[in-house]
Amino acid sequence: MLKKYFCLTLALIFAGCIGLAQKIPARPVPPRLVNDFADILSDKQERALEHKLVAYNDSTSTQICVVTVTSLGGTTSDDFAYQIGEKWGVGTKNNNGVVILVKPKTADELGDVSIQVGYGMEPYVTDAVNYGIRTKEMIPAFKEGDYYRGIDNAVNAIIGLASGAYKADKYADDDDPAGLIMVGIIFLIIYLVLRAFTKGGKGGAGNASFWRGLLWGILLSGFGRGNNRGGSSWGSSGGSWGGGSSGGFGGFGGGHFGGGGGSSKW
Amino acid sequence: MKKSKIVTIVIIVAIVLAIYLWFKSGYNAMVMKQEAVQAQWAQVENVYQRRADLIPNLVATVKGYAEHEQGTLTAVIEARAKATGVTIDPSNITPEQLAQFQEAQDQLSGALSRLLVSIERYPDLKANENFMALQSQLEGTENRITVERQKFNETAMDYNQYIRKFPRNIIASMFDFEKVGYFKAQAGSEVAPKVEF
Repeated sequence: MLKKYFCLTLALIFAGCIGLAQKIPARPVPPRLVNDFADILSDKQERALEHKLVAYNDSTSTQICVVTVTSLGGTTSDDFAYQIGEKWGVGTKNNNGVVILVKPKTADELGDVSIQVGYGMEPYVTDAVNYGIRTKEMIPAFKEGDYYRGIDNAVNAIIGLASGAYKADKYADDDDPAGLIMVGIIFLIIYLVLRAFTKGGKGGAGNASFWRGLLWGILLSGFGRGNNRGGSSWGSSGGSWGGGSSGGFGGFGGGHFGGGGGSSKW
Repeated sequence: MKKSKIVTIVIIVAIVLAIYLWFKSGYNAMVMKQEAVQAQWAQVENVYQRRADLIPNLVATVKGYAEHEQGTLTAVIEARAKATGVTIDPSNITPEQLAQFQEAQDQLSGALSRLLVSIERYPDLKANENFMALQSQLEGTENRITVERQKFNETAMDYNQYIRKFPRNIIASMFDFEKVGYFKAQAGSEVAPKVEF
């Protein structure tokens, strides 16, 4: 019995080693949503797709990652796409990531496309819909050799399906009453301490004004910071709202995948 | 004399404290890892349940087209009944129970794949929208099963390794932390079913 477990554990470890040996590409640095390893898209098409996906990520936090490869490293396209999703962490803590994997058709190998959706996307991009996207939106275009159109169609379809499903955190946090109350309570405590302090310091003169200034300084800067979430026009330190949205993609957020989705060949 | 007494007491207290802390961290880590195993088991049951829920629909759709496949359909229904009958207490996932669970589920997998192979003979059915949707759902569910099983094995291995290592195995045996089982690769799963016409 013991020997059996030992063999089993060995087998598992061995399987794990094989898993590592599979050629899942490393997470891109700097992070990108469009990773055209197979080079089937022109630079212009890549930029257009990336721009669309980054904008969608900025407004909804949903991350749609497009990957093209020339080889699946001996595994299925579903497994390959799942592993990319899980290892790169496509999506946020809501697990709202999607991986679109395309292996182009070659002279002696069939083309293969897989769309894997994170746990949080499963209610929006169901398996049946996923199948429809692959067979109706992607493969007809792929058969004509137009990879960009196929991928773009799929991206548009998924964007349409998941619209309104998630909000980007900066908007979602906007109406957070608990946060506002906390800021208010902290403000009140600091104010009371400050008042007690300035009263006590009346006789002391000299030094007290320095401390008073310091405390007021802390108070104002602290409130200024809290104010960015609160949304009032108070406070002087100013906030950097969101930021970076005009630039590139901010990075993957550690989403998880459960194998939802499927693949088709052509 | 008085000084050495104090030193002795301090040493004893320190040893007791060290043992307590070691027990505490070991025990708590085991509880956490066990919880992780149970949570992952719930995910495994979820995806198997998902497959079981799809089958009545699939059978109903196939029935209308493939009247000669009564035997295959009955086999699927029976295997499903058997598979849903085997449940495991998540707080006690022994290797034997897991093997039993897996055997029942693998029989259902086998019956399903035989059904899907026989369906190749019915082009009308294959072109049916409803059937295509069901088939894609079944495919996605099989993917999920693979993934959740793999995740379960990883979590279980982490837990098993933790409780079996010396000297933590002392804590594990004192508080009855039992080794949990693993899913094994399906016999013959490395060979894709052959489709013959």
